[in-house]
Formats: sequence, structure tokens, C-alpha cells
Amino acid sequence: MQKTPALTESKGKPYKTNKWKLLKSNYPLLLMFLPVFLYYVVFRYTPLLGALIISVKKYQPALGIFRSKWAGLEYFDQFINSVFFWRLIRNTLAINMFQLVLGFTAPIILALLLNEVGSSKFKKLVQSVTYLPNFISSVVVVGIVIVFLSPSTGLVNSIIARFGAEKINFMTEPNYFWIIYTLMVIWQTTGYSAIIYLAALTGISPELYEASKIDGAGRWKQLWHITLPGISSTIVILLLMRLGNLLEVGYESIILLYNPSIYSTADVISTYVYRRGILNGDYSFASAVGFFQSVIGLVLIITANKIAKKYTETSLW
Amino acid sequence: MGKIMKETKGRILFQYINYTILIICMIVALYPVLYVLAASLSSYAFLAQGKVGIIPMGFNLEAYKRVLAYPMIGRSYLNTIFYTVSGTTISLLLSIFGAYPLSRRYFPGKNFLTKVVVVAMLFSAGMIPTFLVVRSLGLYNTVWAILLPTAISSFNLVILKTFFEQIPYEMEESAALDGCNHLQTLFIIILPLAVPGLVTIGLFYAVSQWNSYFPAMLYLRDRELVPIQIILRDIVIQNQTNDLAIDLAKGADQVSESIKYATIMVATIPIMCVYPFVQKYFIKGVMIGSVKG
Amino acid sequence: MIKVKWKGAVSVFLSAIMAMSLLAGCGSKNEGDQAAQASSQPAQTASQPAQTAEAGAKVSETPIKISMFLQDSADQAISPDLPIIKEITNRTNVSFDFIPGPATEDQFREKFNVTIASGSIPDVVISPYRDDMFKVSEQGIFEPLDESIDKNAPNLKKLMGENPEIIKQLRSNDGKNYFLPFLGAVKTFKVWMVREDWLQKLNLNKPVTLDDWYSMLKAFKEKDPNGNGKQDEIPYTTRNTKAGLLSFMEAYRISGFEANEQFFIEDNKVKYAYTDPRFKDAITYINKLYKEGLVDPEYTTNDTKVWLSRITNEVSGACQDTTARAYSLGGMIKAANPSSTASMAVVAPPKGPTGIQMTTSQMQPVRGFTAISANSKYKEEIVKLFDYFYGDEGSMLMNFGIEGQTYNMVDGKPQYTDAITKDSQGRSILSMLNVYGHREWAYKQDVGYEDALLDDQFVKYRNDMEQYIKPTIPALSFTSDERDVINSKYTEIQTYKDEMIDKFIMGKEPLTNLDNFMNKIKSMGIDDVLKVEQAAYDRYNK
Repeated sequence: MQKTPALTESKGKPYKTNKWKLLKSNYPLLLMFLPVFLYYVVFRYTPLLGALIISVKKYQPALGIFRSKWAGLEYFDQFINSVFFWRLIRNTLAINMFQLVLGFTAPIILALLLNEVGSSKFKKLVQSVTYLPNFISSVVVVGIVIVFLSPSTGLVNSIIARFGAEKINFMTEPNYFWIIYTLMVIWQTTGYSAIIYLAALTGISPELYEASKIDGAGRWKQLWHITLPGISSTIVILLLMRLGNLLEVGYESIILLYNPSIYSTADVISTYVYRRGILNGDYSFASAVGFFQSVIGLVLIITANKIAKKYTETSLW
Repeated sequence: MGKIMKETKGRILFQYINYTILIICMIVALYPVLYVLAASLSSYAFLAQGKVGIIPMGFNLEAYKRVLAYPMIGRSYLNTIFYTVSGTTISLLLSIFGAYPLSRRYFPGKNFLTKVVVVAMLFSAGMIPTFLVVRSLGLYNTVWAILLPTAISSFNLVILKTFFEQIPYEMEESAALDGCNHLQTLFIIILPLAVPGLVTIGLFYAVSQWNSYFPAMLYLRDRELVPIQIILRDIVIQNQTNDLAIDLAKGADQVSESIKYATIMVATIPIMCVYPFVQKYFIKGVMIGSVKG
Repeated sequence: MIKVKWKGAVSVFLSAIMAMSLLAGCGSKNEGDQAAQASSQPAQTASQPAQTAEAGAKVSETPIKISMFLQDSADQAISPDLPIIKEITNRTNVSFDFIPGPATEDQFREKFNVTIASGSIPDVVISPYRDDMFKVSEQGIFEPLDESIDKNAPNLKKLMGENPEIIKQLRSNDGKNYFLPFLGAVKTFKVWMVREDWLQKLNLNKPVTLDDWYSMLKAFKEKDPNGNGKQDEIPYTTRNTKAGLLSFMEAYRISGFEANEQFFIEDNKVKYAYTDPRFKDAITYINKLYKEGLVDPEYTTNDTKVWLSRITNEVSGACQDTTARAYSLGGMIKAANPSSTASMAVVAPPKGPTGIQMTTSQMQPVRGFTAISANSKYKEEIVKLFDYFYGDEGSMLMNFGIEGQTYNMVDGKPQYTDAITKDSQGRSILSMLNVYGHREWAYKQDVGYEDALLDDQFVKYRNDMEQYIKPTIPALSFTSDERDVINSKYTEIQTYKDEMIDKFIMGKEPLTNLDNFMNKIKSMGIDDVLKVEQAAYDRYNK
């Protein structure tokens, strides 16, 4: 019988022993990982190298990656020195902070509320229904939001008017954009995102609850001492990955939702790049900005991972 | 779960509040779906005046008739099912192959390879470089162009890795003592315990493959290969009004609005129905034994 | 447990397959119909050999096959089996290997770029998007066609001789021409319309000047023309966001709403609308309309749906839109609200302070570009092939399709058959032509194409208003350095300008800041952009 190093290495510090032995005994795992590694090399990193070159060249599709002229850091420069640079960064970060505070917690709360439901039929019904908005395309959802908020025909404004207050043209007031966008995204995705937590909750042993009941622990205590710790590593991992995207907001919904009168809060990096790209097919610029965002994301994720490693038992690597 | 012990008053109050919140959530979530459904079944007169809410007005099935009469609908539906089923299978397999080794503490190169996965999530190469790779591999205009380039989502892989990591370590140790090798451990011990996690990311893969449009647009040339999303977009475009008087005068506008919504329904009903079916795998306490932490 | 799981999965799978096979049933039946239709068509064409065997149309003695990248129509996937394509092959000896691109602009342009980037260029590349084609043309991928057109394309050469604008619009900035043009004839332009019955009700004349427009809209607002007893009128609405309001700028001789039309030509100089002194008066006027609630307060978010609901609910009584919309709007109101007595009148554009009345046409004469790969084996044949479509016979085929199938000659004029005009699914004429295989590549469009179906009222609208069309800046071509200037400056300028204009209209930015606004645009480099535009315009006129 072959002895897996698992037994000898279970107390951590895996690398200190004979490396060759470790490799040898783990070759089935390495073999297993091989296709995944190849996938990443071929479909992710090779194109990424191409993109990196494109970002420092004046790329023209007709000339190809290699024959296009060098541009150096010109496109990075153009972005960073744009008059709108800080505004774009601020808006992108602000929207992400809203998403983080509200959008990230909403699915956790939904999952916890569902966890407290006794009737499994009702629970399944709620799950199945809240998952649906994810499938309605953004065009439709944005359309509904705009109609909802419209000063002339919208429900929200007719309620405001009933209370005798002045109607608000929400879509032309920069102050409301961040919260409107955030609530819209929550509406679209909360049920869908809650699935991960619901799955994680199944991993908690019922015996723990039984045991705590015997100890006389109330529901709150159970929540704090069993439920939340049970899904905490999932929460931490998702949070870490979310932090890596702190400089990214997808342009698809924003393009539909915003208008120039609220650019001051609604224009984000991706929408700006989109407008420049659509007019001109400016791949090098888009590529350069993409790298800028990703590098910052990488720095953030590495830092956050270090912190997570220090204070929790969970980390990405 | 369990018998009704002595439910305190606070507990009962909490349940009322909880049910109320969840019912409100359902109403809010149902609204856009009913809105689309109603619009797809309503007549032009009501749609044009913006009077349709979540109840169809001037009920008719014209839009659905038009959508389902479009050539290639059946074929592309089958294609989509093929892409979704085989794509999800490939994705799940590869994600397991990636996540399992990375979840083992003793896996050599674990840290480095995890970084390889995570970095790929942060950086995206964009359309042209990926296209060039796909093309140079000879995948252009084959089903592989749809299945392979997006086969792994780093996000899903990391989630699966987290699920694997949560499986109590003792399970594996006892398997090793029983003489299981790595593969046996994975398939006999780990995977059955990770069913909720597998179902979750399987669902995520299936949904994204089902909704996927862009790779098919870029990589496919033969009409026989295209998924339903391409065909549905064509239907929407076909029914968009081009500003030609001859067409407008014929009333080209009058069905375009409801067709837009009908295509959404046709495209999403099947995938919407998947979730209730897989829910039963979210069984509480699949894992026996203790939990770390 | 495992067993149960599998059973579940299998049953889900099977029921899915079953559901799909039902759907597939309806789908495939339809495909069958289509195939039957298609197979009956060649029989028809075969029975008219005398018509197809034109000696002059053969571009090659032996049959040749060319690959062709083009924007497909959503109505029908392009295929060599479509009747018109078959007919072309019959007549010319050229068959096709099509590489279809998506029907929407953004996606087509992406596919175009990756196709070019892949390096394997089809024999023929067709795109309606000028800028993409010109960018590529200078890189040696396409074959210059000047000599070949001289030698092999007598029909096109004749057309170019008649209209010097054509070659101007085709020439790349290296002085060569790489393209065979699609020459459009149907003009789309914007016209102004008002509710004629409201005017009568309120005893008003049709508005002529900007002041007339103001007092008319004011009356619409205050005198309850829709007669519901509420002051709910939004007199003027639009579906084009701020472009719909900026159309009032045209009365000041500065047009500024479409992307390219922010630049205009005056005294042979390229000018920018938003730093022009006249813009101050124009924005002041528009701001006044907004402030007094005479234009749609939600113009920034309006889309076609909202616009239509405003008009069909008889809340709005004036707008500016395309000729086609003007023509159909009455019918649309009636379809939504059968009891309505609404009638829309088209009026001349508002007259500005200096007496100017103008509108612009969105269309340039050259609307599509067909290029030939520098590596193609059949360069000469391809030029000959497309030249056929500029001639009488080929032009008929491209505009009206196949005689006997898609059109008949009535009193010497082509008229579409019922197969085209009365589709059982209600598809439009353009759609039906596409179903038969029509695509917009290099040919000469015939006005008769539109006229064939229009009634006198529309033709009158069009002809009455056509006199107000002022030429816009022609489509220019830029060198790669010039492009750099535009790319790096223009997105910023555009972003700033768009935001500020909305604020000026809504009064969120006081009009006293207009000077600052213009100075800021200058500091962002509008003069560099203008210099580039001017250089390109000068080359254009050479």
C-alpha cells in the first residue's frame, strides 16, 4: 500500500521534505491538473500576451500584431492624463463600494433568511422565484427602472406627489445614480448569487445544531456560532475575488441606464472606453486601460489575501 | 427540521417577519418576468400607449407564432441544448480536475497554480487575441470553438476549490488508510460530499453557456451550428423598424415590440426551469462528521 | 443515493429532449416549406432560358467561385441557393462562398475587424461602415481599382463621369480608389410635424419662424388641445434624446446632432458647431423651451416606445422625425386608438433669425463599399461582375429581383408582385427582397424602389421638403496620424460637450457660463481636431 504524503504532511509545511518524493507520490494529481494548466496556457495566457503587445503598439487589425507600430506607453499615458481620469476612477470605485456594501451582503442575507424557513416547499418556491430576474435581459430591466422613476408616468413619483412633495427627475440628478444602479443590480442578481451560499449552508452538519440546542443556545447564538462560521470561508473567498474587480464595472447596463446629464457620477472606466472604442475601433487604448485595471485589481487581491490569511483561516492561496 | 420544540413568542414573530420579507422578495423578483410575459402577449394598441403592466392587454399569440415560424428555430434550439449539456460536462470535469488538486494541502505548486488561476480571472485578453488563438488552432467554425475557449471560469473553479476544502480532512485520511488512491478518493469520497457545490457551479456553467452569444457570433460561420441566441437576435433585428416609409406604412412597427419580449420568453423559459429541478440536491447535512473551524 | 441522482438527471435530460423535439417539429416543418419553395424557384428560372442567357453578363468563360464577406440580413441567412443569387450565378457564371457577418452594426464591425486581423482575406469584402474600410484600405490588403474600373467597368465609369462626388467619396488619402460603391437613391431626412387638428382647434396657423414655434408650443401647453381638462400636454417630444431638441439649432445654420454633423462646412472651412458664436443663441432658445415646459422634460431618457406613447396618448403634438415616420404616424395613432381624429401635418423647418430654413439628409450618395482582396485570383472578373449591377439589366435584378417572381412590368414601370408585398407573416418589402437573396453590395439603387409602393401623399411630403436639405460635411478619409489626433482628443471633448449641453438645456448650468464652456473645449484641443478635419476636407476637394 502506497502511503500518501497526506498523512505525514497533514500538519502543514508541505515543502520541507523531499521534493522529489512529493512529486512522485502526487503524480496522479499533477496529471489531473495538466489539462487545466494547458487550458490556461492556451486560451488565457497566450491571448493575454497578445493583448499586452497590443497595448504598447498602435494596433491596426490589417497590419497584425507584429507589423503595427510601437506606441510604448502612449495609451496608458493618454488614459492617466485624461481630464476625466480621476472622475472615472472615483465613479468606478464608488459604484463598487455600493455593490460591496449592499450588493455583496444582499445574497448572504437572503440565504440566511431562507435558512430559517421551516417549510421546504416554501423555501424552494422562494428560491426558484428570486432566481428568475437574472434571466431578464438588462435592456428590459433598465427600461422598467426608467419607467418606474419617470416624473410623468412613474410609480415612484406619483407616490412622492401624493405626499405633496416635489417630483424628482431621478435620471437627470447625478446624486441618485449610484444607488439606483446598485439597487437595480441587486434586483437582478441577488437570488442567483444566493445559490452559492445556499449550497455552502448544506455543508453545515445538523448535529451541530442539535448539540447547541441541547446546550440551550437560541437562534441568534446558533446564527453567530454555527451558521455564519459554517459559510464564512465561502464569504471570505467571494469577497476576495470581488475585491480584485474593484476597478471594474460592466458597461452593458450602465450604457443603457445613464445619459450625459449625469456623466458626473455615472461615467465609469468601462463606459468611457466603450465610447472611445465604438467611435474608433481603438483596441490598443482599450487594451492598455484593461491592463491598468487588472494590475490594480491584482495588487488589491494580493493585499487582501495577505490580510485574510493573517486574520482568518481562509485565503485564496 | 426537527420537532417543534417550545417555540418562543419572539421566534414566532420572527417567522412572520421572515415570511413577509421573503414574500415581498418574490413579488419584486416576479415583476420583471410577468412584465415581459404580459408584453409578449399584448396587442399593439396597448403597448404603443404604454398601458401594459403585468397583465396582458389585448391578448394574442401573434408574436409567438412569428417567433416559432422563423426558420432554424428548432435546429438552433437543439444546438443550444447540445452546447449546454456538453459544455457543462466539459466545464465541470475540468473544474474538478483543477479544483481538487488545488484544494489538497500537499499538492506541489499549489500556491503558484492557484495564482495562475486567479490572475487569469483578473486579466482578460479581449476579442482579437483570443480569436487569433482559436483560429490558429483550427477551431474556427467547429463546435469546439464554442465549448473550449470558455471551458473554465476561474471564479467557478475557486468556488469549487473552497467546497472541496471544506470537506473534513479526516474523511480523506480514512480513505487513504483503506487503500484508496487519489482518483478513488476523489470519486468515491469527495465528489459525493461536494454535490451541492458541483450542482451550483454546474448551474452557473449551464446558464452562461445557454445565454452565450458572443463566441458563436465570432467563431461560427455555418448556420447549422448556431445556437438559439443568435437566431433570436436575428428575429429581434428583423422586426426592428428600419425607417423606410413603405415598411412603416405597412405597420411593421405593430408587432416588433411584442416580438422582442416573446423572444426573451422563448430563450429563457427552458433555462429558468432548470433550477427547480436541481434544487433537491441542496440537501442539508450531506456531509457527515465534524466540520472544521 | 447515487442511483436516484442518475435517474433524476436522466429524466430531466429526456424530458428536455422531448420538449425540444416538439419544438423542433414546428421548426423543421418550416424549413421543409422553405426548401420546397426554393426548389420550385429554380424550375421557374430554368423555364426562362432566353432571359438569362445574356452573352454580355458572363464575366468568365468557365464557372468561377469567389468567397465573399458581407453583412447578412436577419430576414434570411445568405446562401447560394437563394433565387436572386442563383439567378446571378446563372447569368454571370460566378458562384459564391459566403462568409456572413452579423446584422447589427457593433457586432458586424467586430467580426469585420477579427476577419481582417486573421489575415485570410476573402476575395470580396463588403461593408457599409466607411471608416473601417478606409482604415484597412491603406494597408495593402485591398487591391487598388482605378485602372481596372477604367478597363473593365464601363457602367460604373459612366456613372462616375456623371457625378464627380462619387470618386471624391471613394478616394483614400493615398489618392487611390479601392472600392466599388453602393450608390443609394432613397434619401432619409428629418421633417417637422405638428398636430394639424390642434392648430385648427386653437386657431393657429402653421408655424414658420422660431417665434411662431414658441407661441404654438406655449398654446399647446396652456390651452388643453387634447381636451381632457387637464394640463398634461408635453407639447414637443422626441425619441432621439438631445438630438431631438438640438434640431432647433439648424435654424441658426449650425447643425450639430449626428456624430459627424458636429462639423459643418461654411465658406470652404470646416467649423465646429459648439464653439460657434451662433450656438449661444440657439442654446438660449432651446433652454427657454425647456424651462417653460414646452419640450419633453424626460428627453434624455426617451426612447421610441416613450415617444410613441406620448403621441398615441395625445399628450404631445409636435416632433421632428424622418419622412417615413411622418408618413406613418397618423396610421400608428389610429391603430393604437381607433376613435382618434388626429392628423399630422408636415411643416417646413423653422425659420431662423437670418431667414435660414434647413434640414440635413442623413445619407451620403455612397453608402456601401465593396473591396477586392489584393490576393484574389479573380480581380478582373469581380470588377466585371459588379459592373453588371450598375448596368440596366443587373440594376433591375438588384433593385426589384426577378421578373415574374418578385416584380412585373406594368406600364413600363416595375411593380412588386404579391409574393413581396403581401407576405402571410406580414414581413416588410425589404425583408421579402432579402428572403429572395437581395443584399446591399455594389450596385446602383433606383428611386423607383421606394416609389413603387408609395402613395402620392408621401411623395408630396418628400418633394416639398427636399428643397430644405443642405449638404452636410462629406465623408472624409484620414491618415493614420490624423486618426491619432482625433482618437486621443475627441472622446474627451465629446464627453464634456454632451454633459454640458444637457446641463445648459436643463438650466443646471447657467447660460452665462457658455464662454467658459467654449474655452474649455478649445483647451481640450478642438482646434487640433479642426485642423485635421480641414486637411482631410482639402484633400477631398482636390
